[in-house]
Amino acid sequence: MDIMGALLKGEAPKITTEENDIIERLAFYLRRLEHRNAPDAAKDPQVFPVRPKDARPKKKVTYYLTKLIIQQLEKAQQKLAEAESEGIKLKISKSVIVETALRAALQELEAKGPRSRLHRILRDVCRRTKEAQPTAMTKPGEDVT
Amino acid sequence: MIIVCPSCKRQHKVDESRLSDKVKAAKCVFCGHKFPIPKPGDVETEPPAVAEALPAAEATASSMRRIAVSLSKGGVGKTTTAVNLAAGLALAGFNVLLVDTDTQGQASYMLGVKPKAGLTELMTGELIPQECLVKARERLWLLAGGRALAGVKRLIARKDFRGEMTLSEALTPFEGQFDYVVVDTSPGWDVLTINVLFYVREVLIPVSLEVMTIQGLLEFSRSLASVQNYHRDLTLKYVVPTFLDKRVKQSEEILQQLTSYYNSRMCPPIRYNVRLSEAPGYGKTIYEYAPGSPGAKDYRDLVRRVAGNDELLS
Ligand SMILES: Nc1ncnc2c1ncn2[C@@H]1O[C@H](COP(=O)(O)OP(=O)(O)OP(=O)(O)O)[C@@H](O)[C@H]1O
Ligand SMILES: [Mg+2]
Repeated sequence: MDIMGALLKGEAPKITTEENDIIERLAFYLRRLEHRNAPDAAKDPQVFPVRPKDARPKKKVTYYLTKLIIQQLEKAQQKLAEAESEGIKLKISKSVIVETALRAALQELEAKGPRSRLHRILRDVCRRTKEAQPTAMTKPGEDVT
Repeated sequence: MIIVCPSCKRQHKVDESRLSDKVKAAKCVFCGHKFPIPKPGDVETEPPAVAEALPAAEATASSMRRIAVSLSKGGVGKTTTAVNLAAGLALAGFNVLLVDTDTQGQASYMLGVKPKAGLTELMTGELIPQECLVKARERLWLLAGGRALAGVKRLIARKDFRGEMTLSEALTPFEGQFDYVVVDTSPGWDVLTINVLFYVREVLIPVSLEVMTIQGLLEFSRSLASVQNYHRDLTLKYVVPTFLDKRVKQSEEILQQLTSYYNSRMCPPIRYNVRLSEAPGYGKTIYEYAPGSPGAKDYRDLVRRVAGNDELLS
């Protein structure tokens, strides 16, 4: 099963042929297509009539969140969307909610230091985990339960 | 041991070593007739000629072209292309074997035939090779796929040596019997598709002109390169754009880009044509169902291209 196993798992070595050149060009073209298509969909006037284009560069990152907080984030997004504030519908992406909440917390941390909410909560988290087990760091790829 | 059904005269292969003394009768997979199994000592009856004689082995083994129609992305027109390419080559006068390696078994449906046996029986060795074929049209033979292939996949997966050669070994009896062997593959990437890529020397990739398919093409090209590592004779020979729709702006643009990458390997496109999606419902090839349609014209062009002869079918 060794050749087969390697091929199934995509672990077999790849030879260098003119094929590789095409593969690279294809990958590049695909990134361009995806890049171009993504903002296109957002700009679609029927879907988001007044959504301004955000000029700040964004980046996709991977951090681990508990399943519970993801659920709560989804609920919050729905609630915001249903609510209407001063005639404005709050139809907001989860990225924007996370960005805004995080910015507020970080600004407070910056201003108040150890007296900020974030600092106090995190101190409690560390204290509790220290009492329970010695490690508080999640390894990359590890499941958070 | 080969035993012959007294009713329909089809030949079955039986492994005597695995036959217990208690088993006295056999049931024919073709006609359902039950008959006693002759004991090895019994007078051997002359095995009858196969009902539909296979083409004489004129083509030498090396001149038999083996083409896989493959892409891991689903619904890009693999089966439509495999069936109409094979049927077109047969119409042009070649002896063609179409092998369906998909558990969906759609090739037989598209050709309007209901085979009793196929690739599964060939690979498990239940029947002698000739009995696994069905003659679907003049010069066109089908080795049908179907749900039972799932068992074949498990059989291959259990092998710990030369599992990737299982299909090639099963198909050796047909070596040199045909001018073309066209192999349709299932979507995804599994043991059977890997086996196909070890059997064929040429790959034809149908590419529907959409972003998702480019993604699939990229992934498949990488997989193909890893097989080429072990099977140096394997070449990507043809890229066939499918579902070309001039009304979709991006479809044209993707076509241009692909042409600039694949150059001479790029084939004339197959247009989006509703006749192509209707024909299978009638069990007909596009040449039979709508010979004057754009779909028929495009597939005739593809046949000429693959055969390397502009005069064919005109
Ligand atoms: N050029 C075309 N114009 C219109 N319809 C088409 C065309 N080619 C294929 N079709 C239809 O599109 C559907 C998918 O085609 P087909 O079954 O050939 O794809 P496939 O790649 O074999 O799919 P799978 O990956 O599931 O095996 C079928 O209903 C078929 O009739
Ligand atoms: Mg198919």
